[in-house]
Amino acid sequence: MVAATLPDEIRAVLDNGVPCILATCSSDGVPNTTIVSEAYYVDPGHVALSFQFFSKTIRNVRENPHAALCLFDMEDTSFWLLELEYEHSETAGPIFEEMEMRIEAIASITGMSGIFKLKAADIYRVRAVSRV
Amino acid sequence: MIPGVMAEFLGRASVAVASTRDARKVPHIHFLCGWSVGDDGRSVICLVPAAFSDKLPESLARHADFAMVAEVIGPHECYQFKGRHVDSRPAGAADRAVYESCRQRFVDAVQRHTRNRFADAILRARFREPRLAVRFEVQEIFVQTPGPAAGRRLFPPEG
Repeated sequence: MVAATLPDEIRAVLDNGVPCILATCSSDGVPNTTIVSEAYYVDPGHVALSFQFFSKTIRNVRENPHAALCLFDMEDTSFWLLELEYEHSETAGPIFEEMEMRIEAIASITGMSGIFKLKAADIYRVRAVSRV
Repeated sequence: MIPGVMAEFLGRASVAVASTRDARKVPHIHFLCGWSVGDDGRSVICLVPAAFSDKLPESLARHADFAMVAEVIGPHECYQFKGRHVDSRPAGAADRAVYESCRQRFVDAVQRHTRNRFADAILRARFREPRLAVRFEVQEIFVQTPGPAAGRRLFPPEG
């Protein structure tokens, strides 16, 4: 499987608190675009995204694992584009617990505490990274 | 026809991003620097900067499926517009007003939401000059505002 390594400088972008864009595609070829509050650095070859609701995104990646993520670098106005492939979900463990805590923090800041509940941490392999 | 309330929403939205897909059903993201309802009332015209328009017309000619999410930054009012590509053309002077209007809404909304965390110039630079104008016919609209209604189809109405 083709994989890519996340450069060190992308960690600050992942942590900048700016929402990012996730695109997926259904098995019959219909793209789907969503705004997600945060993507999480797992290791140089993986990121995690939260699974909170049974959404079109969640259905899509379970039938077609390809996804694309767009991050906003607010230091220099560039965009980071990640080509991803869904690998598996985790419902316990350090990644899940870290994401659960950060989601609750974001929810409390935005007045949406209690609306969001993490069902799983979806782990994606990074297949390609580019900066535009 | 795009419902009036949704056309009005697009005139308020402060950010919009589209996605397409290729032959392998790999999705591709296109950050938009402008958007407006077409004169026919059925389509949306998306302005795409050069960094997000490489080979896009050729790709859309083969795979016309198109999805655009738009949001009012701050209250998180968010909808997804799905449909089919109609045509594409180089962006020109006629698109300037839409580009500048959308860019200003983005800058104003982010500054309001983040209490002036960023310099205006940094935010304006996020909306790069449009290279391509892509028109797609809207066939479905979905709620994406976070909450219990997220995912519900607004147009055509469910049921």
